Amino acid sequence: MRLLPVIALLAACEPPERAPCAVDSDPLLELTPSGVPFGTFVDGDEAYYGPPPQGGAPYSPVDLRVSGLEDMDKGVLIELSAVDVDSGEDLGSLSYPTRLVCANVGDSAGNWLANDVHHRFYGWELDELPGRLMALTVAVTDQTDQRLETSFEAVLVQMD
Amino acid sequence: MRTLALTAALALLPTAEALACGGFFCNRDFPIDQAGETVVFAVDETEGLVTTHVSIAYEGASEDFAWIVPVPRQPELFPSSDAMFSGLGARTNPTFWLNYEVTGNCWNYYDYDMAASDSGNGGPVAEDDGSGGVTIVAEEQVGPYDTVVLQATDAGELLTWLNDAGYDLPTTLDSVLAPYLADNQYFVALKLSAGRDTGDLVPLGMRYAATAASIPIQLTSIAATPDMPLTVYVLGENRSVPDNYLHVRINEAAIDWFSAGSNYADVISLAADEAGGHAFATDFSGATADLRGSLFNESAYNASALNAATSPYEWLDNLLGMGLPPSAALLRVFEEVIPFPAALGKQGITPQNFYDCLSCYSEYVDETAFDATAATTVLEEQLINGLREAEAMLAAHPHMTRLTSSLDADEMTVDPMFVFNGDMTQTQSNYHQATLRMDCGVGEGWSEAERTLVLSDGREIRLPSEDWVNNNGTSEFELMEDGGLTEPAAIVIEDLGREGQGEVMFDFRDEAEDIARRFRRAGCGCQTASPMSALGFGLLVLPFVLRRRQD
Repeated sequence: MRLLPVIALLAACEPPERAPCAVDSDPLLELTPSGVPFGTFVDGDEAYYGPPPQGGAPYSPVDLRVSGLEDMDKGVLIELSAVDVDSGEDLGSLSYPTRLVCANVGDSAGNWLANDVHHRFYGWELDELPGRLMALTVAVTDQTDQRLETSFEAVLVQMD
Repeated sequence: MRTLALTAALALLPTAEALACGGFFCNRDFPIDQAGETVVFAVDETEGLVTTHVSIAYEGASEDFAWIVPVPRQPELFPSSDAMFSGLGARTNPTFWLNYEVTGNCWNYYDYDMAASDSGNGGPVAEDDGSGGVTIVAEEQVGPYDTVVLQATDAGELLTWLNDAGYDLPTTLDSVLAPYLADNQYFVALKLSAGRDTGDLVPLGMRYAATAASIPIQLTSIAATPDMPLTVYVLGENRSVPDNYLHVRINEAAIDWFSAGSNYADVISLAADEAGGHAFATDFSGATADLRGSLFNESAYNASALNAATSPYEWLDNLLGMGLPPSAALLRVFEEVIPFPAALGKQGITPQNFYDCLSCYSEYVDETAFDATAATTVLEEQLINGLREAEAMLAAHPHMTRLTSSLDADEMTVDPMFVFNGDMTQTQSNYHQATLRMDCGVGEGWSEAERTLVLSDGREIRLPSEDWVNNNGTSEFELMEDGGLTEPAAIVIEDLGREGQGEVMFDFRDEAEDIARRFRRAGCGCQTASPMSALGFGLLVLPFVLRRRQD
């Protein structure tokens, strides 16, 4: 009889579950130009844009970080839109559904990440953009229609 | 010897795929069932030129075939060759080898059938012609295709134009066409020329101004099967990495080493899903210098000797002596120049059997109908020229990378783009190895030996004996699944780019090591050890329990 607990103990081992991105904070969406650490970008700083090597409208890459939303693993809708702060001109918009990755290392551990999200300046040429102050607004909507929105203002600088 | 060589060669041919619409969609009624997509890119960043070869797989009526693909600039079109895809695939397909290492003395070691471990291892400015919002940029015949290159400003007008021109396309494509219209992209549309049928389909080659490889995957969503595999070859200066998709490194414990990695496609699919559905894994990365001559050896090829053959037997024998790599394209050439007799098919004889030993079926071979010169011409057109082109491509680009992914239609929302990174480790072999260590003790039978699977990252996974596995109606992989070793499929998820080593976003290596360690310790003997072993362990523990009680 005393052997059974021992054998049962042997049988009870289970691997640890993969730690999900815990929902233990208020919903937050952070936005930064790609390559700029989250939390360090200040409105008015520069953001790079360039010609996508595959051709087409110029683009500017940004990174997104999300926390505090439920069911993120089921996917979100990402919406990007940009305007020229001074002239009010529309600098392009797009949206698409995607899924983010739950990071478990680095400064973003425990958050959902979307790196290299490309805003596209549809209808604009490369040489029409430098020096413009762009207000880029990004929204993330989860499966329960909870929507987070944030934005930054950046001076557009063409990549080398 | 040559017959044996052909047997081995044909055995390596990929299993027949569910051939479907290999472009981005096919026709109004059957736009679905694109079973997979394979694209070869050769990128010349200095010249700003990208050459693309796209395989076209389609099953259906010839008159229904229609294919459309967006490209960033006006392309030069040319017929490509299946042989290129076969050749590159044969050289870079991921393979998984399980090596055996024995400790102790297995009494039946030399009787063990090692064969089991071998299974499966082995522009100009466009002119408006007045066609509404659609501009015809070029029209030409390319190989078996009637092609037209268009630009448009409105999806509805584009679709109306195409359907009026006989391209039988779905009319609900506005949303997937929109990004390409917004990008002022060109559209290449194909249909089979009069007198051609689906048997004439060849891959399409396109050359256009660009500096990176990109796949217009959003259009594919119309015609994709679930978890559609995607294989991309990128030739260029350095290793290629996905720029706007993530990169995944595969958890080797998720591979079923005991079936030669037969679940690799599933692992890729799971890994891509774990990375949000937008990720690629690297199948192969290496210098093209190591590949050159492996697709086609010009010095071994002798067209004159083939033309001089006086019988199909001599022609085939000469050909097999020239070291051509095995491929589906080679088999198709055989079938065209020495037709496979339908009567043999009814007897259960396969084309492979037939060509493997042509003289064995001499009564079915029409020697008088065979024309060696004509056969050699077919061979050159359908195979040799493509292989030469592939070799020239390898010669012109120092590096080749093969990447793979798997996407559902609802994940095809962003076109993947690939860039070169010269900072990362440049080589990654497609040959993967693990070791199965057999602990035979003293004279223990091979099948009774406890085993340890040692992965290339050093993880050691203790497994029960072969007898235990068989007697318990399970498999080594099932035990590993039950033990949580096979998850996640992606052990590292990272964001790579043109420079540096990228940013790791998810890293499960330490946890995986911990899981493996606990799995192989006594605590996880539950998963691996026989009930008798567990009982034996219990009996060892019992005296300590009793002694404590006595204390």
